[in-house]
Amino acid sequence: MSRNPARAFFVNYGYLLIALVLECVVFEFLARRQGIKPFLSFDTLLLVLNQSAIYGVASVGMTFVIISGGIDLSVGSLIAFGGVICALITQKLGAGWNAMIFGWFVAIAAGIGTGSFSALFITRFQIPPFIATLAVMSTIRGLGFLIVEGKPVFDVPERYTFLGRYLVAGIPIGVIILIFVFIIGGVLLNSTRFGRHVRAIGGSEESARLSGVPVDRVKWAVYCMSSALAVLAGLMLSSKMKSGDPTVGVGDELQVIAAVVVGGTSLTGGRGTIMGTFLGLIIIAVLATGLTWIGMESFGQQVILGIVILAAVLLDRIKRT
Amino acid sequence: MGEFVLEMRDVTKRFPGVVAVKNGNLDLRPGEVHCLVGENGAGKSTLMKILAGAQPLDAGTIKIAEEDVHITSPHHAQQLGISMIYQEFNLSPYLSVAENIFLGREPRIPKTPFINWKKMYADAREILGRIRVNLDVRKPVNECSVAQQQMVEIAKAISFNSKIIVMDEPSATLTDHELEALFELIKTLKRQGIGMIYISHRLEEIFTIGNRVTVMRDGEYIATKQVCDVTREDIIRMMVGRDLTQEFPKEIFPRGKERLRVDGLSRKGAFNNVSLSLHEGEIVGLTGLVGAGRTEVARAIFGADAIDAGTITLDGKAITVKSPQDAIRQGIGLLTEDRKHQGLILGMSVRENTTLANLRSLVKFLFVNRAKERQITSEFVKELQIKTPHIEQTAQNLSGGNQQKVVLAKWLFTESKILIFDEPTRGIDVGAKVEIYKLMNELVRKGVCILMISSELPEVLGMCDRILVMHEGHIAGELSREDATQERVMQLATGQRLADVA
Repeated sequence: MSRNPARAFFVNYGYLLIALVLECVVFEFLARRQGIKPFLSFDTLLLVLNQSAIYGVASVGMTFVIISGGIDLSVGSLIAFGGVICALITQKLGAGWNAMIFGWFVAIAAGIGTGSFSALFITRFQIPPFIATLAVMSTIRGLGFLIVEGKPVFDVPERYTFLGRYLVAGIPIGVIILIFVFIIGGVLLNSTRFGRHVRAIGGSEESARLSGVPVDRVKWAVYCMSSALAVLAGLMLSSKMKSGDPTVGVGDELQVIAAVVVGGTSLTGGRGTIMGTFLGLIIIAVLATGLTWIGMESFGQQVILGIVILAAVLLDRIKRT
Repeated sequence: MGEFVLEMRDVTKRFPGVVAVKNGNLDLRPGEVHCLVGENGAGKSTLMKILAGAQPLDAGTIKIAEEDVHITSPHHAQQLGISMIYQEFNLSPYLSVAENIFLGREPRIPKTPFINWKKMYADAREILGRIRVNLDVRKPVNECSVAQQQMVEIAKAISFNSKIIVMDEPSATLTDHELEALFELIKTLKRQGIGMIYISHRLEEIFTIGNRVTVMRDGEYIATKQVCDVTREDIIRMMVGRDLTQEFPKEIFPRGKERLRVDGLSRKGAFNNVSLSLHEGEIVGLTGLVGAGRTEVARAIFGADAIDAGTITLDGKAITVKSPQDAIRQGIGLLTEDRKHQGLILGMSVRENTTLANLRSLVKFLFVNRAKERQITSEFVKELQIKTPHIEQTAQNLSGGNQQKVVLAKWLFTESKILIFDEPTRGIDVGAKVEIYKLMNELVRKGVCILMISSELPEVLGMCDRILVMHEGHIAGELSREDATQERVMQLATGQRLADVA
């Protein structure tokens, strides 16, 4: 293991970087051949980041969950639920900033409540995370529909689009949130006791417990974090669409898991990085953006995305043996 | 007339940077038990992997039944009549005994794809009968004991008509009673002309069942001897390459004040009314048959399992220990019996494992102080002489003895006053064992109280100042170092009264 940070970085993420560069080169080449606007530019970078902001925010929480040896399937439902709650509150309490900010807090609190609920079943009652969060996924999806009686909330003020469409110095707020969440997540995982505990639990829960790691508390925090970030992603999406729609986000947890897995995090727990997830996210986003750029329709995109996920996981496996 | 069923001559295997086996020699006669011994890393496993077809050899020859062979794959090895029984069994837990024996070659009803269950059960019964094992062939393997699972593995080997069976540490997880059954079975196999290569760290077993013994050290072949021509000391000398002055380097320290006291500790279904005390300057042994409740008592003191009754007193003050966290805060540490699943995070580095139980002390403004962490780990690596290329090595790549030292480092870093060692030398080679014992002496000198749980009587007799013997969940008796003998400990452990000790 090298002490040289640059070299260590390349050893760990080299294959992801190569994949990313390869993607960019291919799309640039195809764009030039078709005689359309060149693919590589600062605008494309912003576009890619902006498009990956919503999955990205949720994928940080998912990375922690997966490293701890669990899985969170309730992410997609929480994305819809968060947006619905915030839109409803904003609509009911009038058009001021305060109403919307109050809506954010209530939505995030609901997310933390949901995470606590999942964690309770996972820790106290020893229900496998897959089952517990599957049940929560269904419950939360249903609740989202119930509180708005199945109809999307459209009646929100213009400033409701703050999280989704506003710019600061030319950079979308969503991109700023994305980068902020990734930095916090990375620091949390790499440099704090909490992050170390998450990895220890994923590596061997029993060893961790017998080393004095507060396993239940750490798991609780991890699921709360994932749920809260999923709600944040939901707020961003709802803001972008300027509505609270209970039908959005179906299956989004799988997109989020894909980013985490492409980034080299092991589904069996114990091993994974936030940087990896970031690169996984960007690789998938560049792919989607690039394919649209060169005019491929969405069905073909899905096929290619599937192949890329397989290739990435295969590469990771080869790298480790 | 073919004398040998197997001859491995001058077998060499190189890995990048190391020669794992250099001129390895091993031969086997029909109906013979040939013991293979050596410390961890001596090359035994590699030699056996070559035989099993899991690793190609770089030089040397292998003859089976007097014919040169080139073993290309595990499947090929099986066809040649070689069967391996590893410590971790290759059984499918939810399938029955019979299904496991015939996995992949189930007898079919002729001209149909359906399994002939009747024939399969009959054949399985016949094979088990041949090795005199009484076991329901319809029982799922996960409901069988470890010893029974081992029997199933052996039955599977027999069903392949194997002439050569390699057993890697077969005794490691067996109780004394089960071990006797295994030895009986080995004798049965001997009579049937099957040659066995037997790998074990427990040297006394060699003298019980071995015909010949081959010693390896640092990848090199040292010697092959008739078991009747050598002593235990001879073997140890060949294994470590020098005279091991003392197998148990016990140092006696003056007995100090009482530190830990346990009164009337009970946990339903595990142990009942257990009382014991630990004093400064002593190592207290806790022994008994497997299943007597020793590990359960240790886990209860450490807060890993809840107790139903009883009190724990530390330095004169009653303490409540509801979780391992509580125990660690009070200065109690537990080195678990199962290092790999309960002691270490195998995928984490030496550094991360060392600091895990006391990470709190390295945190400053939320962040773990990496520089200090590296420095502390390096100090422990030096002090305990942990053999690792660097502190970022993952724990799974270390040998058993070094893994145990990392676990020890973890507890030293918590500055525990009370350390409970559960089977501290299981699966560790002779040289490393002595190092662990010496470290225990060092700890006692520094004022740490040690409770040592062990099934290995020589170790208990050799290292402990007092010995508590458990029988069916309660403490059957206490023996001082002077009074303790193997016989007396076994009498207590099996529930008999001691006639000659007060």
